[in-house]
Amino acid sequence: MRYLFWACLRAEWVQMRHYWLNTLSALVFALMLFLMLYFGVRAFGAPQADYAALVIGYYAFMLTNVGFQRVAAFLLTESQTGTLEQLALSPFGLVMATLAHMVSYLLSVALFGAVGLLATMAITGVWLPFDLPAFGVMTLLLVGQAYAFGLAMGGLALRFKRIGDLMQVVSMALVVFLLAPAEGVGNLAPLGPAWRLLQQWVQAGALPDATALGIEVARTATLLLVGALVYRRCECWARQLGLLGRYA
Amino acid sequence: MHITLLQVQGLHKTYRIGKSCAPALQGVSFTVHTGEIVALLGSNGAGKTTCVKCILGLVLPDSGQITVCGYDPIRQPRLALPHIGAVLEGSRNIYWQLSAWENLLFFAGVAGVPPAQARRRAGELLERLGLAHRAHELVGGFSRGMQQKVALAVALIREPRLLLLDEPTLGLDVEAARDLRHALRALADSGRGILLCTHQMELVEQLADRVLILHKGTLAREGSPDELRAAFGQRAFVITTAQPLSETLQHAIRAQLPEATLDGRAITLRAHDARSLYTLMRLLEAEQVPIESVQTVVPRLEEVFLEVARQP
Repeated sequence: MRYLFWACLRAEWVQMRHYWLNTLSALVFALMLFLMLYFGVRAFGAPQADYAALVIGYYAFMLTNVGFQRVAAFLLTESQTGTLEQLALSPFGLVMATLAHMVSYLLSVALFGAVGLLATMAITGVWLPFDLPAFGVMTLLLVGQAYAFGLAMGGLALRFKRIGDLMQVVSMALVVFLLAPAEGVGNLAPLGPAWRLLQQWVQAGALPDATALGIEVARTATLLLVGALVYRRCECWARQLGLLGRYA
Repeated sequence: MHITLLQVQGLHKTYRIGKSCAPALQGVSFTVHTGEIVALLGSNGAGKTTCVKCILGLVLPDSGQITVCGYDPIRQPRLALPHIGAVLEGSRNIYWQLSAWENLLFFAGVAGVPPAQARRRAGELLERLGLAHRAHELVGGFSRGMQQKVALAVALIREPRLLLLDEPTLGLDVEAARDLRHALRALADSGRGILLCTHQMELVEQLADRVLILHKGTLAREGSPDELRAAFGQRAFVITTAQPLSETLQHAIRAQLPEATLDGRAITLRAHDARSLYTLMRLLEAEQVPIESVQTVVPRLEEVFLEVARQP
């Protein structure tokens, strides 16, 4: 399995190198975005803590959004370029090939963001206190939950092909989950509780206790399992109907 | 000794679209052994691609058994798929935004081949297929023939024992098609089994050890090219007369030998036995028409295929 992940990582890196102008543009975009956040916060006279919260919140949200959007987009692109069926011939299965791609893509996005953020801190001279392990764990929980929805959407894309409008609906639902108040059903919704843990850590520096963290780990694992099952079911459905390699 | 690499037994597949059903395969059974090139022929919609995709597990059959090197590719993909390489029709099969070298390394990883082994195999394959000098150029800039060779190399990177090739020479020029033909023969000679789907009869005549003809989802004919030609009949006799045939004689020939075709002084007779030939000889003798020549024509595989394709 590690060879599969390594191959996806390598392919991601190779494409960054081949399309260097695009890669450079993505880096410049990340830099400009963080600079814009910095100057925006300064223009309104907000304290530096707000800037840190904004940056970390944005970074986590960006990765979460990528996790949700990317799977379906990846599968549709692969079927359009005519390589999806070759990926499906992987002995590890299409779901693992998709996950391997997703992880390598997420790492590249995270890298761009990190480079942009570091460059911004170097330019402005304002170094944010960044507790990388804490940030990593909480972002992973969020991203994992978003990936679960991404996997389910990917499965639906294999079966139904055009799901752009459904993606919009689910995107909106995810935003509702994120913003839902921490009471009643809001505590059961995906994404929201994990987002609030991140928020509390960013705003008050409060690390979540073991119980809260454990609940989120369990929620993430369950959602990922459900996402993978939906994906597998839709994949089987597409294979039954002979739709796997089709793109329309 | 020939070992069975692929066994397909009673394969059924019906596509259901809404309320309508389109049967694609109806009880197809065949085998492919080591060192053998088996051509799978059939008109458009005969079920060739469905059959190949069922073997690969890309389409799930309704019923039937498939084993590749003793493993079921649908229930045991981890054990079966490492033994299969495929070039699929209508797909690019490879990434145009990567070089040939990068494509090979990527798909080696997808198949679970360790990087050091993948690099060694990629180098060998590119050399063998004559792509080594352009190994590091983007595949998008290659000719169709070269792209097809890269796709074949990708199918071979996992060192499969069974190769499934759906229209591998489609769009290739004469030289590229010849190179690919040689490569396929060499692969079969090295002990691999090849299932080749194609519409190109010339390729089949030159390469196939055995031919399967699918017609409306069933296996209508199976055998070596010689066996199929022999079963088809039979040779044709072309009798050329020294003088034109009179109207009366033409009528008599058509009446007694409806299978005969007349074209000027040439009479073509497709006969299961020599009796028709004797009848024709008698008719010509009665009218005192001298015979210039008698030729026997061995039927081509294309004619066998067309005969099957014309069946209702």
